[in-house]
Amino acid sequence: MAENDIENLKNEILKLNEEVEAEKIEGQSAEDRVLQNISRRLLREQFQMTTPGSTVADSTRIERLTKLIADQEF
Amino acid sequence: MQLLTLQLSNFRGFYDYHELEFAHGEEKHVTVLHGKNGGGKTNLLNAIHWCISGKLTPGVDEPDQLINADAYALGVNECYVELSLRSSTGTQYRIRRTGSNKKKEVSLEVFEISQGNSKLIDRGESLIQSLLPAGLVSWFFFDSESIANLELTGGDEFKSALRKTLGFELVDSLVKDLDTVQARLRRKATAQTNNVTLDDLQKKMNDIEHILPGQQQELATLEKQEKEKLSALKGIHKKLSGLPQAAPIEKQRDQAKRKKTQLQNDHKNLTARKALLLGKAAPSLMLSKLTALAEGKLQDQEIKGKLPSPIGDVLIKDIFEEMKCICGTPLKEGSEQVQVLKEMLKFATTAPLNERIREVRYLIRNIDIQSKHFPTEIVELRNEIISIDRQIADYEEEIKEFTKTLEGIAVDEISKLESQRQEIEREIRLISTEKGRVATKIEMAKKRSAELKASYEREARTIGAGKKLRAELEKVERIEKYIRRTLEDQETRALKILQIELNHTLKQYMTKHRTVKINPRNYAVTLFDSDENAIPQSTGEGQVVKFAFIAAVVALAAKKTQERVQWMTDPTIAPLVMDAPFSTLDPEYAASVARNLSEQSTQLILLTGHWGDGIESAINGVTGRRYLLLSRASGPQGDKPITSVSIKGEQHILNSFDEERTESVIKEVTV
Repeated sequence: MAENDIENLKNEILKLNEEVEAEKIEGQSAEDRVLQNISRRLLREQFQMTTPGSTVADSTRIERLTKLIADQEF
Repeated sequence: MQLLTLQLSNFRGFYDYHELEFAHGEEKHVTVLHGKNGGGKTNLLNAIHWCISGKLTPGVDEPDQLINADAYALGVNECYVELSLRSSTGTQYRIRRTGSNKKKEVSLEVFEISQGNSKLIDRGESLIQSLLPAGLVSWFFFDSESIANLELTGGDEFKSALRKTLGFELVDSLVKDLDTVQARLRRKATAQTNNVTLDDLQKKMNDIEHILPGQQQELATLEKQEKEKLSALKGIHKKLSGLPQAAPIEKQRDQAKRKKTQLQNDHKNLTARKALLLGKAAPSLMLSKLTALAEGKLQDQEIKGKLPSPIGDVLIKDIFEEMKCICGTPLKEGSEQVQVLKEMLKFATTAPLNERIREVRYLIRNIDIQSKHFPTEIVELRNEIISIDRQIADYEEEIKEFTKTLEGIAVDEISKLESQRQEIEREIRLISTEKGRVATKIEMAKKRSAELKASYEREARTIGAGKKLRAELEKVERIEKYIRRTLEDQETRALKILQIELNHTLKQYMTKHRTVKINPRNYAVTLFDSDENAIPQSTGEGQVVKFAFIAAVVALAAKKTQERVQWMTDPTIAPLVMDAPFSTLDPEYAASVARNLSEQSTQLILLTGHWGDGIESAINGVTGRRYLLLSRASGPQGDKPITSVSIKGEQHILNSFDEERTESVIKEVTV
């Protein structure tokens, strides 16, 4: 098998994997999709609040997380 | 993170200023630096390591000498290393760490580069931590010793480092914070309802929440102490193994003494045998001279025809009896013939005489044979005795050497180290017991907390307390539950992918059937043969697994594996920097490992000596930058060899002598 063929096959496999992953996300229940979005927002916030250089106090972090969840409708 | 450039000034072996650019393209992401042993490879690795972490690699020579010795002698009292890099979000930074011999670090400056302008960042160390946490530096920057020492046997530290690399630590911290959010909401709800039962439950939960962090802190402190003690124990083992031990040398000396005694006994026996032989041989040898004379006489008489006489006495007696000659002529008494016959009878051969002659001849022959054997036997014995004498002398010399070594052994030092070892082992046992006790307490507290929470929820629902707050609490619980579940799924999937990647690599590169399994409990990686027997990590194949594991982790984080994880958070992506990576590998695997590392990493920096054509062809296509680390010596060449490396068929010399100073110099080779 030529090197190009192997490379094409590899790319195809990667695409397929991505599709499978995408399907998995689509296949989630409506509730899980909502929870996933909120989790991502929470993790983004957590990352910003714990990144060295921009770390906030523990109490501020808890306040912000509480508010973020309270603001979400789910 | 990708490294873009490196600049250094008077850092360790590098005199004055040097710079280089790292390959960081999509296609060509490998940088190779060729240098001989002692040519500056480890110093260059340390330049990167120190700039990022503020520390040199463990076990490096002369860790206090940051400034180049020649520059220091000329009055230079600072050195610096500057790295420019790009974060995974695309932001470019410049990190400049300045150091001196006295204080390892004088200053650290981190700049953000935006549109060609540099902006100094406050708390630069924190930013570096976010790009590559200090605890993870050892997962990306390797010297040959650290690769050999990398243990894939699992454990808390190993698991924690891997979780950090894969970004699970942020999720862990969020889950912990969500627990605190829930506790706060409960406290608020309790305060609003003013119910005695809820109040009581809340107080109990508060007590646990109050105690738990202290217990967890205590456990962390114990774990840290245990780690320090284990590290100290490792150091003592290393020192002990480096010192000559008395016991084995004493054993060898005793063996030599026993052999000497045995040889001395043999010597005694052989000398006795020799004396006995000489005793036996002396008469034989003396007789052999006499028998030779006797034999000569006998032969003389035979030649003369006298002995034995040709005429037997029986014949003459028969003639006298019949008084008739054998020719038939009658004999007359008193005749001349009778007189002659009487004379003949005197010398005639008799049967006893014949017997005597035969006996004498036999005796002569026997003495002759025996006397011929003795000299050979005596010479053989003498040689054997000489050989034993030599062996005894050799053993005496050996015994003398052993005694000398034993006298030189620092018995006090060994005994001191031994008692330290025992003390540390005792402390480790105590810490371990204490750890178990605290862990049990934490476990029980958590269990009790969960029970209290459940009771609280039941009670709160019954009395319909703090509906709004309880709704909020429920939301937090749901989201936390989801995150926990997802994290668990991702962890399982990540380990599965790592296992698949490792097995795929082994299948490609090993001739024998080998498989790898990762224990989900402690992340231990074990290599198995076709009969499912575990293969030790110290073997050549074990070393390949270590490289394959490093590559697989890096690839998984960088989403370069065939199967991928939908990460909740971004894992750490950093270049792999390896000093003398292939020295620990069996040559048959080196090219495969090099190819695998280049395929799995986003950026690879290899510091290496000479290598074979296999490695060259494995990574040639992805090598974007190549440098020589020239080793210049101020002294004469003497009997030291000139080392060179062949790059694409062209020889490049790596060292020179009679230079102005001893230093390492970086020189780019056109790729």
